Amino acid sequence: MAIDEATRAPEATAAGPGRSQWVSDHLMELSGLVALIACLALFEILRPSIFLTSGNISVILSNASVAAVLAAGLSVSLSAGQFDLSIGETLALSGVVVAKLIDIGAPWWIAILGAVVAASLVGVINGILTVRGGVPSIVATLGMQSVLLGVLVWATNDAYIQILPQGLPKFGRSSVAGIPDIAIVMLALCVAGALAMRYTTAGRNLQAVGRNPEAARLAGINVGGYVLGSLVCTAAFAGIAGVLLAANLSGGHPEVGPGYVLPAFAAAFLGAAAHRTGTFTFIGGLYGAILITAVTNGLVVANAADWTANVVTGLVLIGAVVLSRVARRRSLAHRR
Amino acid sequence: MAAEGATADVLQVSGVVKAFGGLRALQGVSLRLAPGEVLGLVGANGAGKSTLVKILAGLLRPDAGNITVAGETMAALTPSESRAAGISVIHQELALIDSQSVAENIFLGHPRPRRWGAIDWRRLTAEAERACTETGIALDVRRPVGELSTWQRWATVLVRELRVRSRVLILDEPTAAMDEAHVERVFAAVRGARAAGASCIFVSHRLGEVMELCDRAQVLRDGVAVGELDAGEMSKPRLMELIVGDHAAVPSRVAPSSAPAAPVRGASRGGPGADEAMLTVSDLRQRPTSVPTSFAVRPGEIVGLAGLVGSGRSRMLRILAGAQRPAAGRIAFAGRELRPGSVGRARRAGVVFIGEDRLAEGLVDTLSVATNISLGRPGGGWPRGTLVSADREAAIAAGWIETLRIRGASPNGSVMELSGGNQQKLLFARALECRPQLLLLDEPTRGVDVGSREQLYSIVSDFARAGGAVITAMSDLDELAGLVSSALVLREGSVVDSLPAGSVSRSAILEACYGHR
Repeated sequence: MAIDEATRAPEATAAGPGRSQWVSDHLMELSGLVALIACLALFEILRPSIFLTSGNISVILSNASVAAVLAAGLSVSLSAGQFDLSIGETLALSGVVVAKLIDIGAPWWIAILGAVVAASLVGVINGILTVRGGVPSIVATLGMQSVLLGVLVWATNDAYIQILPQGLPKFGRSSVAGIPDIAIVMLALCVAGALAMRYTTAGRNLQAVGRNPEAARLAGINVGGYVLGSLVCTAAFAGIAGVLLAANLSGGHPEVGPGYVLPAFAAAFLGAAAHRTGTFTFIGGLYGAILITAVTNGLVVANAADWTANVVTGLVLIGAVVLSRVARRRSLAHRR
Repeated sequence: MAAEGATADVLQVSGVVKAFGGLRALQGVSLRLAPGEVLGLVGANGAGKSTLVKILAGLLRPDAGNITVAGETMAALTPSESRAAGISVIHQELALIDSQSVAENIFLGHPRPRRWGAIDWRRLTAEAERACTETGIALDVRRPVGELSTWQRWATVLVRELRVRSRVLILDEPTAAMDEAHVERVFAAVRGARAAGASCIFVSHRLGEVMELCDRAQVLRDGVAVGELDAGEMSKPRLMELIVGDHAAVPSRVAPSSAPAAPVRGASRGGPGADEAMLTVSDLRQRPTSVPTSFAVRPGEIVGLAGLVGSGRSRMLRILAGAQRPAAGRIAFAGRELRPGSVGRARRAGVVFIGEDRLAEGLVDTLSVATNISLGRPGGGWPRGTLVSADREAAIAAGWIETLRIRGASPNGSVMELSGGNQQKLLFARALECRPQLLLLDEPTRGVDVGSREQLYSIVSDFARAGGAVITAMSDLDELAGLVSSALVLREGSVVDSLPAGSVSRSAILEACYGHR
């Protein structure tokens, strides 16, 4: 998009209509930003001096970080046209593994590595089932999440594995200049991922695989390899999200997964809805995660009933998908 | 007398015109079908047979003309009206549900017998069995259709259509995928249907079958009914004459020696190693049942693949490109064995394919022109091939836009804004960016305007002049004859004839296609 802007910029300054052209091209992105600001303003009016306090903002950012890392990973497999429903349990698996490894005395970096590798293995199995076994990814991962949940509950006796409040949990709770450490990790991941999607051949090929697999195959791209790789990437990101969550909660629990699946999908689709051609992007996922977390947090702060968060998240997911389809159709129709 | 004929005929088609865009597929076609008659409908690819069949089935609306069935003129020309009038079409793609039984398929689209509101399976099976017996076709009606042979599947559809007493039975290339033994069964079934009172239109490329089965043949050429022959008058030479038309062999023979082809052959003869084959295909079988086929292509050659619809041209190109696996055979390229089954391997060896459907097999609509051109470009390994430089990608694209004159394209623009011809040039740019030695082209000029066509021809001949080889499938035989230096004629997946340089012409190709040589 940077290139688009660069080529359009001269038009915009040369003639009056150029500016309105820019606005209409970026309408979706702008409307997303307006929606975010409107939500923040609404909750601030409802609960003045509680919602927009540095403490609450820090809570929103911490919570949004886990969802944003999940959504970032999802955007990889969604770009390749795959659905990974097992991200919630992969996240839980990673949290349990990191907590257990620290519990038995492993150094923090071994624990983190072990957790991310374990999560990636889930992605490898999902990928092999999809590519080699011919099982649609949505089905393979649906089965996988149930298997993982069962195994986790069995292996942990359904118990919370605590990490002593030094090292990782300390990192998970502290912040730099008001920004939580885990949010910094999340930001770094999103930026790195966005750069990789944009500036590597793999990122380009991934989009081609998702959008037109036959064309990609005839262009000599290893479609199966990309599908498998995308599912491994998604699982690895879920693993990192699991580590961040364990750091934030000072431990791992086998049943944290289900609560994160829907917000992550909603965030990824919100990001795509805000994109001009309806493409899944890392930055879009980040923006979506912040928006959805701010809204659900706002509902809590405004003393809304617990069930409202579920309703709102579900509505946001459906609405975002509708919007992203409209965005894509509009952009392609306008270009055709 | 004319009025008398009109009432006697079961089907009358008069002055039917149909145009697609600028192309007139049917230019006022008339034909008639007498009760109990089997009419052969023949013509080369693009003569208008399929369009006419689709109009009779109500799938296409004609721009002008009338269709009268048993004295009643059809008004709406919809599929349901066509069915109600008693017209049944058995298309090449059989409308069957594989997971359901023969009996269920016989009742597909018709009311099933019911009892207390639920389907009465016992009666349904019994009625299906009776329908089979009446038609004289032995089928196990309880078996799922997916387990049946090609002939049995076709017979299932035939029983379905005959059960509702159709007046006009249109059979579109029923024997295309069947072997000799089953062809006889199809003939017996058609004769049985005629005895039961149906009139048939038999659409086929196989002239021998038409002569054996049909009472009369109607020939279409370029959307015009050019003649009809009675059973007594039918012979292969007379049918060929009508199918090929007055594109006499003599003037077309001049075509290959004209401008585009001549320098290519001259250059290739002068080049080093020009007599050695670049591509050698030995004992290739597209399907397990195909006749093994072998051929070779030398540098500088532009080889045309000709054949009627269903002759396996696209499949042959896709096998060479690694996009499909052959049942058997070896492919050697540039002196080395090329194992089939991987597009990547073929591309690395220097074989690049451009498919016939630009949108489905070529372009990625959400990516820019520059990215589309660079898609699948062989990278320089890690890290150079890993990272995309937007500047370099744009520079590559700008170079090709200039060289191939891709009009209306800017590196960052959308591919969907380009015309068909320019989209095709973009795909040529993607292919040439891989520095191929062999280009495989499937209908490269389909949906391309005349101006861009000329440019595509010169891209192809320049490529061959520079020592590359080209294999191209084209349905338009005049176009093919003008571009290629030699031609291979395919039938049922195998090369049945090869026309050397200088003897490629529309009539020569058609004669080879119909096996009249």
